[in-house]
Amino acid sequence: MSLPDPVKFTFSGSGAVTPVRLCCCIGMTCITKSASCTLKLHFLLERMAHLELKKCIFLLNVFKLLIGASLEKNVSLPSPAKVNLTCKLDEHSHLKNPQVTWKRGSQTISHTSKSHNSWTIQVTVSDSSHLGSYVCILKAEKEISATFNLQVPKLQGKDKPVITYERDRAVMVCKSDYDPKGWTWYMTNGTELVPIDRILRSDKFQIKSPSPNVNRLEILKLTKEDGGVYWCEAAFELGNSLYKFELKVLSIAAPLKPFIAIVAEVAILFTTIVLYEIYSKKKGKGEFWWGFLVG
Amino acid sequence: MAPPLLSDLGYVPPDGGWGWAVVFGASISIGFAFTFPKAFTIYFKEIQGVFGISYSQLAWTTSIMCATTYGGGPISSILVNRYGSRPVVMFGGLLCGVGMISAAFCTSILQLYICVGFITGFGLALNLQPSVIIVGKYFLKRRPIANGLAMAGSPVMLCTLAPLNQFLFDNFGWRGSFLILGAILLNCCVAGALFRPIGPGTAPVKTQVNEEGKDALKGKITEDGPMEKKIEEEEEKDCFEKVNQYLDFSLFKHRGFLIYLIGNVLMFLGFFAPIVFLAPYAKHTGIDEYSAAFLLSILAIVDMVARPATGIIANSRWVRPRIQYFFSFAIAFNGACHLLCPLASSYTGLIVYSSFFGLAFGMVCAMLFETLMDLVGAARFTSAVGLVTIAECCTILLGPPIGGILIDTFGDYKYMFIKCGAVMVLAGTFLFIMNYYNYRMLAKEEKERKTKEEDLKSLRTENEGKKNWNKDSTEDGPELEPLRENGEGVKKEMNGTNEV
Repeated sequence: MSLPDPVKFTFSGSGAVTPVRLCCCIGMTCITKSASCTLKLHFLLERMAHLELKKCIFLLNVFKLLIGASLEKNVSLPSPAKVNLTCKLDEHSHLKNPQVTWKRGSQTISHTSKSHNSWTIQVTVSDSSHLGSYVCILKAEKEISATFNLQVPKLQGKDKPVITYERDRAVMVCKSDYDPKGWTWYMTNGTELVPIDRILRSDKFQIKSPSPNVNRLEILKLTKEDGGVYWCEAAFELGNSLYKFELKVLSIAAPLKPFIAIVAEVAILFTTIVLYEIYSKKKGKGEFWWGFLVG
Repeated sequence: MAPPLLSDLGYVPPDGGWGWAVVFGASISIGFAFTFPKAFTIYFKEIQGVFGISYSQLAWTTSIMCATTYGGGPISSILVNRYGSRPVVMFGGLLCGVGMISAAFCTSILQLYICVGFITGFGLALNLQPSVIIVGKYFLKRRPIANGLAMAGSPVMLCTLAPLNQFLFDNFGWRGSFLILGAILLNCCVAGALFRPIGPGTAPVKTQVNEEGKDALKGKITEDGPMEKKIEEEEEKDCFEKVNQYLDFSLFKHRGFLIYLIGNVLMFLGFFAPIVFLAPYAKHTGIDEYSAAFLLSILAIVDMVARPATGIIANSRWVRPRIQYFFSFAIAFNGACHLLCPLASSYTGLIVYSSFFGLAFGMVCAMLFETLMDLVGAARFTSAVGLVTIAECCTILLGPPIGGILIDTFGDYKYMFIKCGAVMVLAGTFLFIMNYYNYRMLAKEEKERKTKEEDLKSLRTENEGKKNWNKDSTEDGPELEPLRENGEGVKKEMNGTNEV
């Protein structure tokens, strides 16, 4: 199997940007020396987004082209913006006369700008209908495609179940990289999502926001029935984003079983050692207990 | 050139037998003491969220724990001097268990500071020092191996505790995990039960001595020989002596002890920071989280192998008399690794760095207490270890924050590595030079003492025939004659001959 063409990443940015570390590797050989590459051939990108409400122009044009592999990149858009998406082919590439088409679904989009090795489109995202997948298809000797997924920002929370105990307090923290317009929490009733009204049940639920991009749900006086799935929803201009939390309420007895087991093990070992010592000191056992404790 | 292997304990250590069970118990105890603060950081994110506090506020918990573990050294030493290792370790294990169990019911960060920080930390202090001390009481000829094996408990425990903590946390939440960890810490009591007391109860010198004769014997020996030989139960009325019985402050006049203290205090300034910042540095250079964690695993595995291996090397005929040089070399090697780290920018380079770092780290840790025992002797080691740990406490705590400040100021990790490397190379060089001087002084003193003894011996054989001498001695009492003989006999045994 022949090696794929090495592809060089470049990026272009505007405005106040922080440096981006790029990585281009095929196997163990890396072209860019400024950063290290993992063996898994996935690229690293540190976003240099400078978000302004008035003038949001994202530039994300880094991707990697491999034989037969298609590339995907998620672009988070919290508010309406004009986005430039660029596909760029490395100069060292051996591909001759590449033809590039940009598509969204089945609809072809025309290039905004073009050069001998880069093709750019500009997408104006003003509402949620413009979100979705934009694909750049390169046809030459091989066909390579790269996908940009324009979407609302994803939320972060805890992906493993939150474990709490009865009569304790449960805390679920929902975070976002951007400031949403509002937060809502839901609990599931069967298959329905029921919003949690904190004013109505302030003795049970407390919702706090220590900073605009962090929201906390606190559930007090837990009972077994409180366990289940909770949803955190952040409202952005271009749509809403959801995150799922799973809450498990255990009884005090749950950790007590391993606890007692371990204490029993300690007691057994301790007694064994003491008995062994008595056995081996059979001859001088008069002063044994005092000698055992004080060396 | 180096001093001969002497036991100033007053008895001959078994160098095996039950000693290996003691080493096993000590490795468990030491393992818990060193790794528990590190393994505890898994719970940080969750507790941060529950109590609504910042990372630095929570990080105080482990800082308090570390500080108490090292700062509680002198108290540990006093208790061991008074009661022996066994009850102290068992009480320490109990304290740790109680601390963590009560931490499971905490409702505020302050309660966590007290339960996890102070109580558990103090319990770990009562575990750490006595474990190290009792290894020195059971071994002499094979002491470096025993120390290496005992210290190997730390990386083994780290490799076990870290995934165990993760498992407990995923299944029981942080409160349940604390409860179960409290039970696990009770295993230190089991380790303590293995520390069968050993003492000079069977040696000929002690059994023949009665109350009045003891002081005279002590006076005779300190007068006749500059070699320091402290009897464990001093009954002097002097207040200073009484304090020294519990915690030997006269160690501050001991040349070897001071060298060790200054060198180690300097070394710890750069000892722990690279471990703390290895994973963040790896992520900074663009490596993903799992590969960064893998670097630490490599470090732990190499460390695990390096410690007993270093013990074996340090025990060999060529290294044992010059063990201080080996220790200084290990420290300087450690420093050199850190200085070269900024050159490693690729993942392979970092793997190489982690392996060498693990090796160097293991070498230094394995010999950390062995060299102190070698310098001050096993009898005074009890107090020495307490005084040393409380002095090291400050620099151990300062090391990572200073590294953090360097990283934040310059935005680059390399200055932190350079600082750690430079400090350790300096410490290693200092120890090397000062120990060279110390060895020479010890050899000189040994020579002086030998010539003095020979003079005294020839003088005594001369005067035996003289009547005046006999008259004087009969006035003193018949007790002194056999005691004097015994005193000489002890010295001769110390020299390796048995002519009594």
